[in-house]
Amino acid sequence: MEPINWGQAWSIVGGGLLTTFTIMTLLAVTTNLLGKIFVSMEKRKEAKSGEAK
Amino acid sequence: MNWYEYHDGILKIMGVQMGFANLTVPQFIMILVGLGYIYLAIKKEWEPYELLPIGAGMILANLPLAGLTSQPEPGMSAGMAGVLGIILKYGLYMWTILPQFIFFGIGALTDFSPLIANPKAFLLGAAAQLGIFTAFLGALAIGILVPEWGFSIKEACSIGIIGGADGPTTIYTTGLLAPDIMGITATAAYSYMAMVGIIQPPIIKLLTSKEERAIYMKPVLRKVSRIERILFPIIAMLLIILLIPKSAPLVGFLFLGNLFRESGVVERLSNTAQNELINIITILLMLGIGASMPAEKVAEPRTLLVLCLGLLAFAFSTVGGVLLGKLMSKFSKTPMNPMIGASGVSAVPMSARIVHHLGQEANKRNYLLMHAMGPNVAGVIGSAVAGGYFLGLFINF
Repeated sequence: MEPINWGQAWSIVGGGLLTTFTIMTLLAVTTNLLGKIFVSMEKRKEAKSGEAK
Repeated sequence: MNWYEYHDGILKIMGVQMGFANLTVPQFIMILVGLGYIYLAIKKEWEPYELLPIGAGMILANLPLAGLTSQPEPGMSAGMAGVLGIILKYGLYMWTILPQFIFFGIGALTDFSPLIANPKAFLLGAAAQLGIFTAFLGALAIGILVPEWGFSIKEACSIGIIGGADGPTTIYTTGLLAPDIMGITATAAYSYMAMVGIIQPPIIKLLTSKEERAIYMKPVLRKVSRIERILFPIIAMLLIILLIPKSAPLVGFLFLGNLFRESGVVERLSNTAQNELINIITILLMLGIGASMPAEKVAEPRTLLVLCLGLLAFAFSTVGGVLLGKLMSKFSKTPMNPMIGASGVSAVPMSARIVHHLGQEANKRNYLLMHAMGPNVAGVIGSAVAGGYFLGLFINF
Protein backbone atom coordinates (compact mmCIF):
# COMPACT_ATOMS: atom_id res chain seq x y z
CA MET A 1 0.00 0.00 0.00
CA GLU A 2 1.48 3.31 -1.11
CA PRO A 3 1.62 6.06 1.53
CA ILE A 4 -1.13 8.61 1.13
CA ASN A 5 -0.20 11.97 -0.28
CA TRP A 6 -2.36 14.18 1.96
CA GLY A 7 -1.63 17.28 -0.08
CA GLN A 8 -3.12 15.56 -3.11
CA ALA A 9 -6.06 14.26 -1.02
CA TRP A 10 -6.98 17.74 0.27
CA SER A 11 -6.62 19.24 -3.19
CA ILE A 12 -9.02 16.55 -4.50
CA VAL A 13 -11.55 17.49 -1.79
CA GLY A 14 -11.17 21.24 -2.37
CA GLY A 15 -11.25 20.87 -6.14
CA GLY A 16 -14.23 18.51 -5.97
CA LEU A 17 -16.34 20.78 -3.80
CA LEU A 18 -15.38 23.81 -5.86
CA THR A 19 -16.15 22.03 -9.15
CA THR A 20 -19.49 20.67 -7.93
CA PHE A 21 -20.62 24.03 -6.54
CA THR A 22 -19.38 25.98 -9.58
CA ILE A 23 -21.17 23.73 -12.07
CA MET A 24 -24.37 23.62 -10.05
CA THR A 25 -24.28 27.41 -9.59
CA LEU A 26 -23.78 27.89 -13.34
CA LEU A 27 -26.72 25.59 -13.98
CA ALA A 28 -28.83 27.51 -11.45
CA VAL A 29 -27.97 30.87 -13.03
CA THR A 30 -28.56 29.59 -16.57
CA THR A 31 -31.87 27.97 -15.64
CA ASN A 32 -32.95 31.10 -13.77
CA LEU A 33 -32.17 33.31 -16.77
CA LEU A 34 -33.93 30.93 -19.10
CA GLY A 35 -36.96 30.95 -16.81
CA LYS A 36 -37.02 34.76 -16.64
CA ILE A 37 -36.86 35.06 -20.43
CA PHE A 38 -39.70 32.60 -20.98
CA VAL A 39 -41.88 33.97 -18.19
CA SER A 40 -41.53 37.53 -19.58
CA MET A 41 -42.26 36.23 -23.10
CA GLU A 42 -45.35 34.49 -21.78
CA LYS A 43 -46.48 37.67 -20.01
CA ARG A 44 -45.96 39.76 -23.16
CA LYS A 45 -47.95 37.23 -25.16
CA GLU A 46 -50.77 37.35 -22.63
CA ALA A 47 -50.73 41.17 -22.59
CA LYS A 48 -50.89 41.26 -26.41
CA SER A 49 -53.78 38.81 -26.53
CA GLY A 50 -55.51 40.90 -23.82
CA GLU A 51 -55.07 44.07 -25.90
CA ALA A 52 -56.40 42.33 -29.01
CA LYS A 53 -59.55 41.35 -27.13
CA MET B 1 -17.03 -54.43 -5.84
CA ASN B 2 -18.36 -55.09 -2.37
CA TRP B 3 -21.02 -53.05 -0.53
CA TYR B 4 -18.51 -50.86 1.34
CA GLU B 5 -16.45 -50.02 -1.77
CA TYR B 6 -19.67 -49.15 -3.62
CA HIS B 7 -20.88 -46.74 -0.93
CA ASP B 8 -17.40 -45.27 -0.49
CA GLY B 9 -17.41 -44.47 -4.21
CA ILE B 10 -20.87 -42.90 -4.00
CA LEU B 11 -19.76 -40.74 -1.06
CA LYS B 12 -16.66 -39.60 -2.96
CA ILE B 13 -18.79 -38.64 -5.99
CA MET B 14 -21.15 -36.77 -3.67
CA GLY B 15 -18.19 -34.98 -2.09
CA VAL B 16 -17.01 -33.76 -5.48
CA GLN B 17 -20.34 -33.04 -7.13
CA MET B 18 -22.77 -32.05 -4.40
CA GLY B 19 -23.16 -28.43 -3.44
CA PHE B 20 -23.84 -29.17 0.23
CA ALA B 21 -20.47 -30.88 0.62
CA ASN B 22 -18.70 -27.90 -0.95
CA LEU B 23 -20.56 -25.06 0.76
CA THR B 24 -18.09 -22.83 2.61
CA VAL B 25 -18.90 -20.66 5.63
CA PRO B 26 -18.48 -17.34 3.70
CA GLN B 27 -20.79 -18.67 0.95
CA PHE B 28 -23.35 -19.69 3.55
CA ILE B 29 -23.17 -16.22 5.11
CA MET B 30 -23.66 -14.62 1.68
CA ILE B 31 -26.69 -16.83 1.03
CA LEU B 32 -28.14 -15.68 4.37
CA VAL B 33 -27.43 -12.04 3.46
CA GLY B 34 -29.16 -12.62 0.10
CA LEU B 35 -32.17 -14.10 1.90
CA GLY B 36 -32.16 -11.04 4.19
CA TYR B 37 -32.35 -8.76 1.15
CA ILE B 38 -35.23 -10.77 -0.29
CA TYR B 39 -37.01 -10.55 3.09
CA LEU B 40 -36.57 -6.76 3.23
CA ALA B 41 -37.80 -6.43 -0.36
CA ILE B 42 -40.92 -8.57 0.12
CA LYS B 43 -41.87 -8.02 3.74
CA LYS B 44 -40.76 -4.41 4.27
CA GLU B 45 -41.04 -3.36 0.60
CA TRP B 46 -37.69 -1.56 0.84
CA GLU B 47 -36.64 -0.76 -2.71
CA PRO B 48 -37.96 -4.13 -3.92
CA TYR B 49 -36.95 -3.53 -7.55
CA GLU B 50 -33.34 -3.36 -6.42
CA LEU B 51 -33.08 -5.46 -3.27
CA LEU B 52 -34.97 -8.50 -4.59
CA PRO B 53 -32.73 -9.11 -7.64
CA ILE B 54 -29.59 -8.16 -5.65
CA GLY B 55 -30.52 -10.76 -3.01
CA ALA B 56 -31.27 -13.36 -5.69
CA GLY B 57 -27.95 -12.57 -7.39
CA MET B 58 -26.09 -13.03 -4.08
CA ILE B 59 -27.69 -16.42 -3.53
CA LEU B 60 -27.16 -17.69 -7.09
CA ALA B 61 -23.54 -16.50 -7.18
CA ASN B 62 -22.67 -18.23 -3.93
CA LEU B 63 -24.10 -21.65 -4.69
CA PRO B 64 -21.06 -23.90 -4.85
CA LEU B 65 -20.21 -25.69 -8.10
CA ALA B 66 -23.04 -23.93 -9.95
CA GLY B 67 -20.55 -21.97 -12.07
CA LEU B 68 -22.98 -19.11 -12.66
CA THR B 69 -20.27 -16.50 -12.07
CA SER B 70 -17.66 -18.07 -14.36
CA GLN B 71 -16.58 -15.26 -16.63
CA PRO B 72 -15.94 -15.90 -20.32
CA GLU B 73 -12.24 -16.19 -21.13
CA PRO B 74 -10.43 -16.62 -24.45
CA GLY B 75 -10.21 -20.31 -25.33
CA MET B 76 -12.99 -21.33 -22.97
CA SER B 77 -15.22 -24.14 -24.19
CA ALA B 78 -18.70 -23.21 -25.38
CA GLY B 79 -21.29 -23.02 -22.64
CA MET B 80 -18.73 -22.92 -19.81
CA ALA B 81 -19.28 -19.27 -18.87
CA GLY B 82 -22.09 -18.59 -16.41
CA VAL B 83 -24.83 -16.10 -17.16
CA LEU B 84 -23.94 -13.97 -14.12
CA GLY B 85 -20.28 -14.08 -15.16
CA ILE B 86 -21.22 -12.76 -18.61
CA ILE B 87 -23.26 -9.93 -17.04
CA LEU B 88 -20.39 -9.10 -14.69
CA LYS B 89 -17.69 -9.14 -17.34
CA TYR B 90 -19.40 -7.29 -20.16
CA GLY B 91 -22.01 -5.26 -18.31
CA LEU B 92 -19.97 -4.10 -15.36
CA TYR B 93 -16.22 -4.75 -15.32
CA MET B 94 -15.16 -4.52 -18.96
CA TRP B 95 -17.56 -2.14 -20.71
CA THR B 96 -19.55 -0.71 -17.76
CA ILE B 97 -22.54 -0.08 -20.04
CA LEU B 98 -25.35 -1.09 -17.67
CA PRO B 99 -25.16 1.98 -15.33
CA GLN B 100 -25.23 4.28 -18.35
CA PHE B 101 -28.43 2.71 -19.68
CA ILE B 102 -29.98 2.94 -16.22
CA PHE B 103 -29.21 6.66 -16.32
CA PHE B 104 -30.86 6.82 -19.74
CA GLY B 105 -34.01 5.30 -18.26
CA ILE B 106 -33.84 7.57 -15.20
CA GLY B 107 -33.60 10.58 -17.52
CA ALA B 108 -36.68 9.42 -19.39
CA LEU B 109 -38.53 8.96 -16.09
CA THR B 110 -37.48 12.25 -14.47
CA ASP B 111 -39.50 15.41 -14.58
CA PHE B 112 -37.05 18.26 -14.02
CA SER B 113 -39.85 20.86 -13.76
CA PRO B 114 -39.55 21.31 -9.95
CA LEU B 115 -35.85 22.09 -10.44
CA ILE B 116 -36.40 24.40 -13.43
CA ALA B 117 -39.10 26.26 -11.48
CA ASN B 118 -36.81 26.69 -8.48
CA PRO B 119 -33.16 26.81 -9.70
CA LYS B 120 -31.88 27.56 -6.16
CA ALA B 121 -32.40 23.85 -5.57
CA PHE B 122 -29.24 23.22 -7.63
CA LEU B 123 -27.22 24.58 -4.70
CA LEU B 124 -28.89 22.16 -2.29
CA GLY B 125 -28.09 19.35 -4.72
CA ALA B 126 -24.45 20.46 -4.59
CA ALA B 127 -24.31 20.79 -0.79
CA ALA B 128 -25.72 17.29 -0.39
CA GLN B 129 -22.59 15.89 -2.04
CA LEU B 130 -20.60 16.84 1.10
CA GLY B 131 -20.67 13.22 2.26
CA ILE B 132 -18.77 12.12 -0.84
CA PHE B 133 -15.74 14.15 0.15
CA THR B 134 -16.08 13.46 3.88
CA ALA B 135 -16.11 9.70 3.31
CA PHE B 136 -13.21 10.09 0.85
CA LEU B 137 -11.10 11.64 3.62
CA GLY B 138 -12.41 9.10 6.14
CA ALA B 139 -11.36 6.23 3.89
CA LEU B 140 -7.86 7.65 3.60
CA ALA B 141 -7.66 8.29 7.35
CA ILE B 142 -8.21 4.57 8.00
CA GLY B 143 -4.74 4.00 6.57
CA ILE B 144 -3.21 6.14 9.32
CA LEU B 145 -4.96 4.25 12.10
CA VAL B 146 -4.56 0.72 10.72
CA PRO B 147 -2.19 0.69 7.72
CA GLU B 148 -3.11 -2.84 6.57
CA TRP B 149 -6.78 -1.87 6.28
CA GLY B 150 -6.01 1.34 4.41
CA PHE B 151 -7.55 2.33 1.09
CA SER B 152 -5.82 3.79 -1.96
CA ILE B 153 -6.91 7.20 -3.29
CA LYS B 154 -8.89 5.55 -6.11
CA GLU B 155 -10.64 3.26 -3.64
CA ALA B 156 -11.37 6.25 -1.39
CA CYS B 157 -13.01 8.04 -4.36
CA SER B 158 -15.15 4.96 -5.00
CA ILE B 159 -16.18 4.73 -1.34
CA GLY B 160 -16.90 8.45 -1.16
CA ILE B 161 -19.21 8.34 -4.16
CA ILE B 162 -21.62 6.14 -2.13
CA GLY B 163 -22.54 9.46 -0.46
CA GLY B 164 -24.08 10.59 -3.73
CA ALA B 165 -26.88 8.12 -2.94
CA ASP B 166 -26.91 7.20 -6.57
CA GLY B 167 -26.47 3.54 -7.52
CA PRO B 168 -25.51 3.89 -11.20
CA THR B 169 -22.95 6.64 -10.46
CA THR B 170 -21.42 4.52 -7.70
CA ILE B 171 -21.20 1.47 -9.96
CA TYR B 172 -19.82 3.38 -12.92
CA THR B 173 -17.20 5.27 -10.91
CA THR B 174 -16.10 2.24 -8.90
CA GLY B 175 -16.09 0.02 -11.99
CA LEU B 176 -13.48 2.29 -13.56
CA LEU B 177 -11.49 3.31 -10.47
CA ALA B 178 -11.54 0.31 -8.12
CA PRO B 179 -13.37 -2.68 -9.67
CA ASP B 180 -12.25 -4.94 -6.80
CA ILE B 181 -14.59 -3.17 -4.37
CA MET B 182 -17.43 -2.52 -6.82
CA GLY B 183 -19.67 -5.23 -5.40
CA ILE B 184 -19.35 -3.82 -1.89
CA THR B 185 -19.78 -0.14 -2.82
CA ALA B 186 -22.75 -0.90 -5.09
CA THR B 187 -24.43 -3.06 -2.46
CA ALA B 188 -23.80 -0.38 0.18
CA ALA B 189 -25.22 2.36 -2.08
CA TYR B 190 -28.43 0.46 -2.84
CA SER B 191 -28.80 -0.78 0.74
CA TYR B 192 -28.50 2.71 2.20
CA MET B 193 -30.83 4.10 -0.48
CA ALA B 194 -33.36 1.53 0.70
CA MET B 195 -32.74 2.58 4.31
CA VAL B 196 -32.91 6.32 3.65
CA GLY B 197 -36.11 6.42 5.72
CA ILE B 198 -34.15 5.25 8.73
CA ILE B 199 -30.92 7.18 8.15
CA GLN B 200 -32.22 10.65 7.30
CA PRO B 201 -35.01 11.50 9.80
CA PRO B 202 -32.85 11.47 12.97
CA ILE B 203 -30.19 13.63 11.28
CA ILE B 204 -32.79 16.08 9.98
CA LYS B 205 -34.45 16.27 13.41
CA LEU B 206 -31.10 16.76 15.10
CA LEU B 207 -30.18 19.68 12.86
CA THR B 208 -33.54 21.48 12.73
CA SER B 209 -35.94 22.81 15.34
CA LYS B 210 -39.64 21.94 15.25
CA GLU B 211 -40.38 25.52 14.20
CA GLU B 212 -38.03 25.18 11.24
CA ARG B 213 -39.59 21.86 10.21
CA ALA B 214 -43.02 23.43 10.41
CA ILE B 215 -42.18 26.31 8.03
CA TYR B 216 -44.99 26.42 5.50
CA MET B 217 -44.17 26.60 1.81
CA LYS B 218 -46.89 27.28 -0.76
CA PRO B 219 -47.48 23.94 -2.46
CA VAL B 220 -47.47 25.43 -5.96
CA LEU B 221 -44.42 26.06 -8.12
CA ARG B 222 -44.53 28.16 -11.28
CA LYS B 223 -45.65 26.40 -14.45
CA VAL B 224 -42.69 25.41 -16.60
CA SER B 225 -43.23 25.74 -20.35
CA ARG B 226 -42.56 22.88 -22.78
CA ILE B 227 -39.78 24.79 -24.53
CA GLU B 228 -37.98 25.26 -21.17
CA ARG B 229 -38.28 21.55 -20.46
CA ILE B 230 -36.80 20.79 -23.89
CA LEU B 231 -33.99 23.33 -23.65
CA PHE B 232 -32.99 22.36 -20.10
CA PRO B 233 -31.50 18.90 -20.86
CA ILE B 234 -29.68 20.24 -23.94
CA ILE B 235 -28.14 23.21 -22.13
CA ALA B 236 -27.35 21.30 -18.94
CA MET B 237 -25.78 18.43 -20.90
CA LEU B 238 -23.58 20.73 -22.97
CA LEU B 239 -22.55 22.85 -19.99
CA ILE B 240 -21.62 19.94 -17.72
CA ILE B 241 -19.89 17.81 -20.33
CA LEU B 242 -17.89 20.71 -21.72
CA LEU B 243 -16.67 21.45 -18.18
CA ILE B 244 -16.21 17.82 -17.06
CA PRO B 245 -15.91 15.62 -20.15
CA LYS B 246 -15.54 12.44 -18.07
CA SER B 247 -19.08 12.85 -16.79
CA ALA B 248 -20.40 12.37 -20.33
CA PRO B 249 -21.29 8.66 -20.03
CA LEU B 250 -23.61 9.41 -17.12
CA VAL B 251 -24.72 13.01 -17.68
CA GLY B 252 -25.03 12.53 -21.44
CA PHE B 253 -27.29 9.52 -21.10
CA LEU B 254 -29.34 11.10 -18.29
CA PHE B 255 -30.17 14.16 -20.36
CA LEU B 256 -30.56 12.18 -23.58
CA GLY B 257 -33.28 10.13 -21.88
CA ASN B 258 -34.86 13.33 -20.58
CA LEU B 259 -34.78 14.92 -24.03
CA PHE B 260 -36.60 11.87 -25.42
CA ARG B 261 -39.26 12.40 -22.73
CA GLU B 262 -39.69 16.13 -23.11
CA SER B 263 -39.44 16.37 -26.90
CA GLY B 264 -42.86 14.75 -27.18
CA VAL B 265 -42.05 13.48 -30.69
CA VAL B 266 -40.48 10.11 -29.85
CA GLU B 267 -43.12 8.79 -27.51
CA ARG B 268 -42.44 5.13 -28.34
CA LEU B 269 -38.71 5.51 -27.63
CA SER B 270 -39.41 7.43 -24.43
CA ASN B 271 -41.91 4.81 -23.28
CA THR B 272 -39.41 2.03 -24.02
CA ALA B 273 -36.70 3.85 -22.04
CA GLN B 274 -39.12 4.41 -19.13
CA ASN B 275 -40.43 0.86 -19.06
CA GLU B 276 -39.02 -2.12 -20.96
CA LEU B 277 -35.44 -0.89 -21.30
CA ILE B 278 -34.96 0.26 -17.70
CA ASN B 279 -36.68 -2.89 -16.43
CA ILE B 280 -34.42 -5.19 -18.45
CA ILE B 281 -31.30 -3.25 -17.48
CA THR B 282 -32.42 -3.20 -13.82
CA ILE B 283 -32.72 -7.01 -13.82
CA LEU B 284 -29.27 -7.44 -15.39
CA LEU B 285 -27.58 -4.76 -13.26
CA MET B 286 -29.05 -5.82 -9.92
CA LEU B 287 -28.35 -9.52 -10.51
CA GLY B 288 -24.81 -8.51 -11.48
CA ILE B 289 -24.36 -6.43 -8.32
CA GLY B 290 -25.60 -9.27 -6.15
CA ALA B 291 -23.23 -11.62 -7.93
CA SER B 292 -20.30 -9.24 -7.60
CA MET B 293 -20.15 -9.55 -3.80
CA PRO B 294 -17.34 -12.08 -3.39
CA ALA B 295 -17.99 -14.47 -0.48
CA GLU B 296 -14.36 -14.59 0.58
CA LYS B 297 -14.31 -10.83 1.14
CA VAL B 298 -17.53 -10.53 3.11
CA ALA B 299 -15.98 -11.11 6.52
CA GLU B 300 -12.93 -8.92 5.86
CA PRO B 301 -12.58 -5.80 8.04
CA ARG B 302 -12.17 -3.68 4.89
CA THR B 303 -15.64 -4.74 3.72
CA LEU B 304 -17.17 -3.68 7.01
CA LEU B 305 -15.21 -0.43 6.82
CA VAL B 306 -16.63 0.29 3.35
CA LEU B 307 -20.14 -0.24 4.75
CA CYS B 308 -19.42 2.09 7.70
CA LEU B 309 -17.85 4.74 5.47
CA GLY B 310 -20.80 4.50 3.10
CA LEU B 311 -23.14 5.19 6.00
CA LEU B 312 -20.94 8.12 7.04
CA ALA B 313 -21.11 9.44 3.48
CA PHE B 314 -24.92 9.24 3.46
CA ALA B 315 -25.12 10.96 6.84
CA PHE B 316 -22.78 13.81 5.89
CA SER B 317 -24.56 14.34 2.58
CA THR B 318 -27.78 14.82 4.55
CA VAL B 319 -25.96 17.18 6.93
CA GLY B 320 -24.59 19.23 4.03
CA GLY B 321 -28.02 19.58 2.44
CA VAL B 322 -29.79 20.54 5.67
CA LEU B 323 -27.12 23.06 6.74
CA LEU B 324 -27.24 24.87 3.41
CA GLY B 325 -31.03 24.65 3.58
CA LYS B 326 -30.92 26.42 6.95
CA LEU B 327 -28.61 29.11 5.59
CA MET B 328 -30.75 29.68 2.51
CA SER B 329 -33.88 29.71 4.67
CA LYS B 330 -32.44 32.61 6.69
CA PHE B 331 -31.88 34.74 3.58
CA SER B 332 -34.85 33.62 1.51
CA LYS B 333 -37.47 36.28 0.69
CA THR B 334 -40.23 33.68 0.74
CA PRO B 335 -40.58 31.10 3.55
CA MET B 336 -38.31 28.14 2.91
CA ASN B 337 -38.32 24.92 4.90
CA PRO B 338 -34.65 23.95 5.48
CA MET B 339 -35.49 20.27 5.46
CA ILE B 340 -35.78 20.27 1.67
CA GLY B 341 -31.97 20.43 1.60
CA ALA B 342 -31.87 16.85 2.89
CA SER B 343 -33.49 15.62 -0.31
CA GLY B 344 -30.43 16.87 -2.21
CA VAL B 345 -28.98 13.38 -1.72
CA SER B 346 -30.31 11.78 -4.87
CA ALA B 347 -32.24 8.67 -3.69
CA VAL B 348 -35.14 9.73 -5.91
CA PRO B 349 -37.92 9.97 -4.79
CA MET B 350 -37.53 8.43 -1.32
CA SER B 351 -35.65 11.28 0.31
CA ALA B 352 -38.16 13.82 -1.09
CA ARG B 353 -40.99 11.72 0.37
CA ILE B 354 -39.26 11.58 3.75
CA VAL B 355 -38.91 15.37 3.84
CA HIS B 356 -42.57 15.64 2.84
CA HIS B 357 -43.65 13.32 5.68
CA LEU B 358 -41.49 15.12 8.24
CA GLY B 359 -42.95 18.41 7.04
CA GLN B 360 -46.50 17.13 7.53
CA GLU B 361 -45.56 15.71 10.93
CA ALA B 362 -44.52 19.19 12.06
CA ASN B 363 -47.27 21.11 10.27
CA LYS B 364 -50.29 19.32 8.82
CA ARG B 365 -50.80 22.10 6.26
CA ASN B 366 -47.37 21.52 4.76
CA TYR B 367 -47.09 19.85 1.37
CA LEU B 368 -43.36 19.82 0.63
CA LEU B 369 -43.14 17.07 -1.98
CA MET B 370 -42.81 19.33 -5.04
CA HIS B 371 -40.33 21.62 -3.24
CA ALA B 372 -38.25 18.62 -2.17
CA MET B 373 -38.25 17.10 -5.66
CA GLY B 374 -36.17 20.04 -6.95
CA PRO B 375 -33.11 19.35 -4.76
CA ASN B 376 -33.78 15.62 -5.17
CA VAL B 377 -33.29 15.64 -8.96
CA ALA B 378 -30.49 18.22 -8.57
CA GLY B 379 -28.76 15.61 -6.39
CA VAL B 380 -28.75 13.16 -9.31
CA ILE B 381 -26.94 15.75 -11.42
CA GLY B 382 -24.62 16.69 -8.51
CA SER B 383 -23.52 13.11 -7.85
CA ALA B 384 -22.88 12.52 -11.58
CA VAL B 385 -20.78 15.70 -11.61
CA ALA B 386 -18.79 14.53 -8.57
CA GLY B 387 -18.34 11.08 -10.17
CA GLY B 388 -17.17 12.69 -13.40
CA TYR B 389 -14.75 14.85 -11.41
CA PHE B 390 -13.17 11.78 -9.77
CA LEU B 391 -12.93 9.99 -13.12
CA GLY B 392 -11.35 13.05 -14.72
CA LEU B 393 -8.54 12.87 -12.15
CA PHE B 394 -7.52 9.31 -12.89
CA ILE B 395 -9.01 7.99 -16.13
CA ASN B 396 -8.03 8.80 -19.70
CA PHE B 397 -10.37 7.56 -22.41
